[in-house]
Amino acid sequence: MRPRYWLLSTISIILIASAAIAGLNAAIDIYGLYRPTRGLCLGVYGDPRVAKYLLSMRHVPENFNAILTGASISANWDVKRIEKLRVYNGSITGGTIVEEKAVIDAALERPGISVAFLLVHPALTWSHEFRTVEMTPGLKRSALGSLSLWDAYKDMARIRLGLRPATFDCSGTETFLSMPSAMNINMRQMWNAPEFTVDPIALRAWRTLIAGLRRRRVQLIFIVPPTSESLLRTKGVPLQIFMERMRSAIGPSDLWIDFLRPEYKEYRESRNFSDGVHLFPASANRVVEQINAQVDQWIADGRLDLLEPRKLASIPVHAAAELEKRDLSDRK
Amino acid sequence: MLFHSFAYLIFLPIVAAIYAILRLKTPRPWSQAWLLAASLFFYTRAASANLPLLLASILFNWAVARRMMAQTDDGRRKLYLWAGLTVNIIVLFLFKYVNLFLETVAWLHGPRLSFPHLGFPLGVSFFSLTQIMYLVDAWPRAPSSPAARKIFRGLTEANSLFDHATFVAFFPYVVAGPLSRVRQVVPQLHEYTMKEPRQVMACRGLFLFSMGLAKKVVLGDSYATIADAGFLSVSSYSTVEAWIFCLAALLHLYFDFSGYSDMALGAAWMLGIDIPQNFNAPLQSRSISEFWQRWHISLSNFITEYLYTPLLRSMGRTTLAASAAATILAMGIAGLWHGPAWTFLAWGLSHGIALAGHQIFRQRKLHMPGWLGWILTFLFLTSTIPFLRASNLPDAVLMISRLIPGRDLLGHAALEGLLPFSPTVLLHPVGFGVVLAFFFRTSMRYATDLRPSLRTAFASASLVVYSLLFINSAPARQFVYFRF
Repeated sequence: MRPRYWLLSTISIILIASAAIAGLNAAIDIYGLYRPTRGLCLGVYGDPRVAKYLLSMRHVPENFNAILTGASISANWDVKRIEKLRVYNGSITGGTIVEEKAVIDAALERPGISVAFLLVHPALTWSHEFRTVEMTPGLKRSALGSLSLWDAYKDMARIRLGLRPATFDCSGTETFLSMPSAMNINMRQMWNAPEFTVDPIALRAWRTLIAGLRRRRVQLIFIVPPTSESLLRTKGVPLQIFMERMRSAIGPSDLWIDFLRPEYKEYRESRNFSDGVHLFPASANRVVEQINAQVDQWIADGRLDLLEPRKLASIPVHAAAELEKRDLSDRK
Repeated sequence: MLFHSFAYLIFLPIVAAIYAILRLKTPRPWSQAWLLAASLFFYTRAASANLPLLLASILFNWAVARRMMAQTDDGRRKLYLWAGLTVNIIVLFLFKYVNLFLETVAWLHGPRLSFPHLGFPLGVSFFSLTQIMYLVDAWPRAPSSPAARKIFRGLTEANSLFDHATFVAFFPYVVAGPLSRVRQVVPQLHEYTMKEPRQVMACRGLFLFSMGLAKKVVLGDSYATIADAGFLSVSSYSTVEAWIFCLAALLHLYFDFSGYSDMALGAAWMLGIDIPQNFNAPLQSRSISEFWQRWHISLSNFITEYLYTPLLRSMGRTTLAASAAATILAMGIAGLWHGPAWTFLAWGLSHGIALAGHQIFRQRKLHMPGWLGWILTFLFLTSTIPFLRASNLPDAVLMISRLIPGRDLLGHAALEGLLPFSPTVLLHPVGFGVVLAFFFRTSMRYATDLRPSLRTAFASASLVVYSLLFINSAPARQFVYFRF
């Protein structure tokens, strides 16, 4: 073969193969990025971080009006039990607030989400790392052909062929294949420390997230999850200090559901937890039902009107924008 | 703009195609001007804030060399040389070591004192060394006889600013080498000097580039996943875990930097310019001396010619002890060149000591079976890699101590805790990489043996497309040597 033809052939094969791979994946479109997705049930396959982030770009705002952010603690909360809202469970196992913020920011790029449930827990603010991939809009390109997509296809094939059970439902709620019987190394480190470390960048991301949500007139519901009494006996005070610090972010129009309050003692009994922080499915259901009752009450009180745009809360628009800008420059 | 970014994969073929057309259809300055413009665009896209420094360095060194070569008096000539070298070394120290000095002063003084961070200009370590080599090459007087001029390794006449700027800013090596000499590159800007026809070299260049790309993004980044996890916070690893993390760090460094060097050489070949080879299957070396003849060859040559030899000469009589001392000192300086940290100094000194030991071994005419030499070299390289990889000296020492078999020999708790968040598919190429690094020929050999056929076209395209899938999976990791 003459060198000129070799060069042309090689470049042509690269272009044709790349275009074919991208075209095929865009046609399959497991994340619903390139087609209307209203009414579709798109599962979470492969790396849940990548999947939930990409699903949030279009599928979540087209099919849900509320989103729950959190870590593994809330990943198995069956949010379909919240009856008056269509909630997507955006919780990510091992997730930080920085990752959760990325998911919410993606979901808010399109109209649709008007309520955000924010889990308040030290697990979300102890670090600001992206655990597997950096969740930026550029990740959308990975849906056209990437390793994570290949992992997702393999995962989907295994589930559809019945080789393993589906672990996520259409609302993003995870069914743990096995409940963690002991805390993982990170969680252990966090609970063994004398107080709960708050990463400054994670804290800023938390504040920026809240400011951004207010700016976009999204109603906020903060949830302090139950923790087993046995853990609270040694870490109750540091946890309260942490919660007070986080509570400073809430405004008068927000709902704060705190399962550390005395009246929720039954939710904190040790038998509800597999490892002190993760709830067994039945206990998680009871927690979500309690949240549902409070949301119902809230709606009955006229404090949540999904049809009317919310009033701007105490943080003015320019301040929220400034916070976001500072957060961006910090990350750079 | 990184070599393994989508932007570069579009940039390179466009630049190469237009350059080839201009070489054919227009007078030489036009094609060279295109190359210079492309190089400056490349550097600006990578680090626009550092462009003034690069331009100032080009202008200064060109002017100094020109003035130096115009001098008839040897004393004045030497004065220009030392002035030029001093300024380049100051620039290098200013950006690489002053931050460390200021941070130390601020730390000693207390929290109220703070200094601005000067930043680290991209490629300053490499283009400063290129300029040093240029000045040293320009210093000796060219012999008058044509026969002697042919073998003369210095510069026979002063370059034009246009040539010097194109030489220093040449985009395939401006950021991280290979360190190239003016006498090799500048004549190639004027006329095509390679033995094979231009189109054959373009094919080989593309093939080499595709292999380098795959080495970097498929293999290098896969090893990086394991090494990053292991060195993020060194803790109580078992012996097996410590060896796995250290081997992953070594292979990451090898595939990352040799992949980068292949891409640089491939890109240069696509433009019809030959630059030095940087790697020659170093992990197959049977001694530490052989390793340094095969690893980062352009830096090794620089160390030998511009550090070791002058140091040895300055010691007077060449004895074994003087040679060993010069080796250790030169390697210590080379270690510090990687960055202002005790870990880099320790790495350089440990290699210097090993090289000196090998000199003594050879001097006494001792022999060792090849396989034993390979094992010892491998063990040494793996056990010293924590100095290059760990974030501080205590961590490096802790990791090295874990390599010694102890009570916890086969534990794998840390691996289980650290790796579940890695995409499984990323770990698949890991086994293949070990075989490739230790038993296969170099990518350069495969490229020079390339026979253009549909089969090799598919092989080259497959490597690029497979690499694109990896690039598209996560934000691109920077090349390791961009930090040094």
